[in-house]
Amino acid sequence: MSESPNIELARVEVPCEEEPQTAVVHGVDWVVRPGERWAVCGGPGSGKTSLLCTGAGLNAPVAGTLRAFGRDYWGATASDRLALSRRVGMVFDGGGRLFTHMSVVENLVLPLQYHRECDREAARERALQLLALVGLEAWADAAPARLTTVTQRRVALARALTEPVELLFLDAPLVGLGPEERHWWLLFLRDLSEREDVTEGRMSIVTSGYEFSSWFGWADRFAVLGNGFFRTLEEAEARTVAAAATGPAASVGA
Amino acid sequence: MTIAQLEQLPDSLLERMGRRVADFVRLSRALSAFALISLSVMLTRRDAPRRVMRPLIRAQIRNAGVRLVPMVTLLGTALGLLVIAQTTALLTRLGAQQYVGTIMVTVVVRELGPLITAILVLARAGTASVVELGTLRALGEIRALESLGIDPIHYLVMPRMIGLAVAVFCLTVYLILTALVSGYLFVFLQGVPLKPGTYLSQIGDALLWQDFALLGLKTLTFGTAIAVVNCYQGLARSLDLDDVAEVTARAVVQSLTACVILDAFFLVGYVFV
Repeated sequence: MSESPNIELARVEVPCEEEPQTAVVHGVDWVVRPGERWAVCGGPGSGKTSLLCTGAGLNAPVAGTLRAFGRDYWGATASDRLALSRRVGMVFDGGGRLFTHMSVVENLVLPLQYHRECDREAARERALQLLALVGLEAWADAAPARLTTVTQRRVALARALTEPVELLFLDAPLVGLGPEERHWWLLFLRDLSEREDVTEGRMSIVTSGYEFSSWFGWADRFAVLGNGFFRTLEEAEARTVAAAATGPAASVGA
Repeated sequence: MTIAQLEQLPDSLLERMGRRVADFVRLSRALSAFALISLSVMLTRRDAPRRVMRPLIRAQIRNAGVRLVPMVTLLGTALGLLVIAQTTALLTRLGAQQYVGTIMVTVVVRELGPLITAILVLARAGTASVVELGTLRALGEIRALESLGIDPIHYLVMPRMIGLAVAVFCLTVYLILTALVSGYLFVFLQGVPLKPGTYLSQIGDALLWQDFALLGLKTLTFGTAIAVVNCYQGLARSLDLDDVAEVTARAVVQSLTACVILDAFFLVGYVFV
């Protein structure tokens, strides 16, 4: 296991998803270390998805540097970037952006076969194990469109775990969930970083959401987004923010 | 027309022409960059997972090639009949039947065969690629591929480049053979005194070694160009349903323009080689 930080963002200008040359969050200094559990909260349009995509190496920063596992991510060669990106997982918001023209199990078989050159049966077997992990093995051959958005998100979680990732980003995983489903996610994420069948080392997890209250007891690090800025918080500060009626965005000064 | 209007006319015309030229240069640069990136990915990814990529390439060859065989048979037959019908009457009158094979080679092998096949493949598979890739992009699935460490150029563009290049090459050869056979059939039915052996030897004499090399190069280039233009248009930006028709039409025009410009370069090749 590498002891260097999983990712380090230094004075990063986070690009807008639609306009890559426009910064939506400014001057982000952020370090995620192995085993940490982050809750990043902010209001709608505050740049949560953009920040997570930039941290995961999916968006190039407008300015600043992103170091992943001790290496300058955007200064690395394409093949090195590919190797680094395989150590980072991402679960998108909503239905997790499953491949709609494939069945549920094929969504998992694709990355398994693509990266490991294993035969289809071996990949399918591993995919079914991962689907069983999220309680969806019965839906293996269904089309994603037949699943609810909430269930699709679980498939996306299983798909993100097809590689032994060391850092997992989850964009708004609890948004729109009922109490039971929310309880399942929190329990699953609590055990996830220690599970040897999905990760080789201590996995660090970064989640995002609109409010902190769901994450107390699970997260050990907190950060808030608002007014175009990013700020890390102590748990006590995060509790104050959660209690404030004005919401998390008001706690970040412009 | 007033003097003021006359003074404005050249300006606005020049302005519009200048804008068009600038747009054309910008697009050419973007397409060239996209083609170079795609080619470099194709050549450098030697660790490509064959179990994933081969079925994708086969599917592209099936869609762009095998499914077009009946249409190419029909067009090849029609092309052979039309070319021979138009020329034999004239050549017989002039007593120059010995040039039937030469005309078939010049018209069908060198020019019409590759171009007609490229247009067919563009209509059948190129436009479908714009819609497929544009929809994937709009649904965020391209971003999902990247998050899994799968390069979209490698996974989506490369199979289309190989599939369309192979399809245009194979279908062109098939179309030429069909046109040559149907051409002779017409000659035979019209009672033109031309024996099969003579017809074949005329074709053999007219064919140069450059024809084989340039035919291969031209068809592979046409297929690659169609794939590059259509994949670029599909991936360049997110598509709403309203955009699909416009972007597809634009991709068709750009692909045709690319093929005609490339054809002009190959014509230079025929002249100087």
